[in-house]
Amino acid sequence: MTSNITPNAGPSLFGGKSKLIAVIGDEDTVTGFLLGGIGEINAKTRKPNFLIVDKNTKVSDIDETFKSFLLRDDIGIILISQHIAELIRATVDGHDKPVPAILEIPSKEHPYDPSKDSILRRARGMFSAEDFK
Amino acid sequence: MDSLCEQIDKLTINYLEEFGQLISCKQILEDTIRQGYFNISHARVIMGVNNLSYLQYSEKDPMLASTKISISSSPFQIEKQTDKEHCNDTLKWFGLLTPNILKQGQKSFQQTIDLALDACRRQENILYLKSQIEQLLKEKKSYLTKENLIDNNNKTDE
Repeated sequence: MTSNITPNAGPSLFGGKSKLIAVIGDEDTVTGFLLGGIGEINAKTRKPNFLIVDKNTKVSDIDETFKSFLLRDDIGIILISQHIAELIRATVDGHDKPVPAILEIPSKEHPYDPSKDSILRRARGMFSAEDFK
Repeated sequence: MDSLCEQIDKLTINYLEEFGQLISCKQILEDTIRQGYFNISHARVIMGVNNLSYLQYSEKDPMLASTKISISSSPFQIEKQTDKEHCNDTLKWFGLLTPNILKQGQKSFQQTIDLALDACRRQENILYLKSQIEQLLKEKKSYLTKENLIDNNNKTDE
C-alpha cells in the first residue's frame, strides 16, 4: 500500500511520523536500494542511512554503524546483507525489539541461508516432547 | 483444558503456515534482488565501471529519501510511503540518458523493498504467534502439574 504525498517546502518530504529504511551491504546492494529511493543524508547530523561494506571495512565500524542505526529514532527498518550480519552476529541477535525491524538479505556472492537468520532462529525451537502430552 | 489445547493447536497451525509463507517470501525476495544485481552489473558494463558507483551518489544537499515507511510496534504495522513524483529521481544521479537496463534494475529494487516490508510483517507475526503459543503451553503445563498433584494427593489418601 502506498500513498501519494506531495512534497512540502521544508527539508522533509513527508509528515513527522515517517521513518527511513536503512541498508548495510556491499556497493551494489546499497546502490540498488538507493536507486529504489531509500537513501537519505540527515540535514542536521550529515549522517547517511546507509553503509557500504567492502573488504577494507573494519568489523568495528560495521558494528558501530549498526548500533547507531538502532539508536536513531528516524530509522524504522535495517536491511543488512546476511554475510555482514554474520560478522556482527552478537549485536544483531541482541536486538529483540520490533522497531527498528531487521531483515537479513542475500548479497551477490552469498545466497540467503535460513539456518543463519537471526529471526528464524528465534522463531524455531518452540516445542519439546513434553508439550505433546 | 480442551479449549486450551484447541487454542494451542490453532495457533500452531497459523504459526507453521506463516513460517512457510515467510520462507517463500524470502525466496522470491532473493530472486528479485538477484535480478536487480544482474541489471546493475549489466548497466555497469554499458556505462563504464566508473560511471555506476558510489561516487555518483547525489551530492545534492540534502539527499532525501522518496521512499519511507510508517511503522508501529503494537500492533505491529508497516506501511510504505512513496513520493510518487520523485521516486525515480535517483536514476538521474547516473546521467540524463541511462540505459534501460538500469531502469529495470531500479524497478527490481523497488519490488525488493515491497517484498522486504512483507517479510518484516511476517517475521514479527511469527514471533508474536510464538510468544502466544509459549504462554499457552506454560498454562497447560501448570494445569497438568496441578492435576498431577491432586491425583497424587487422592492416591495417598486412599
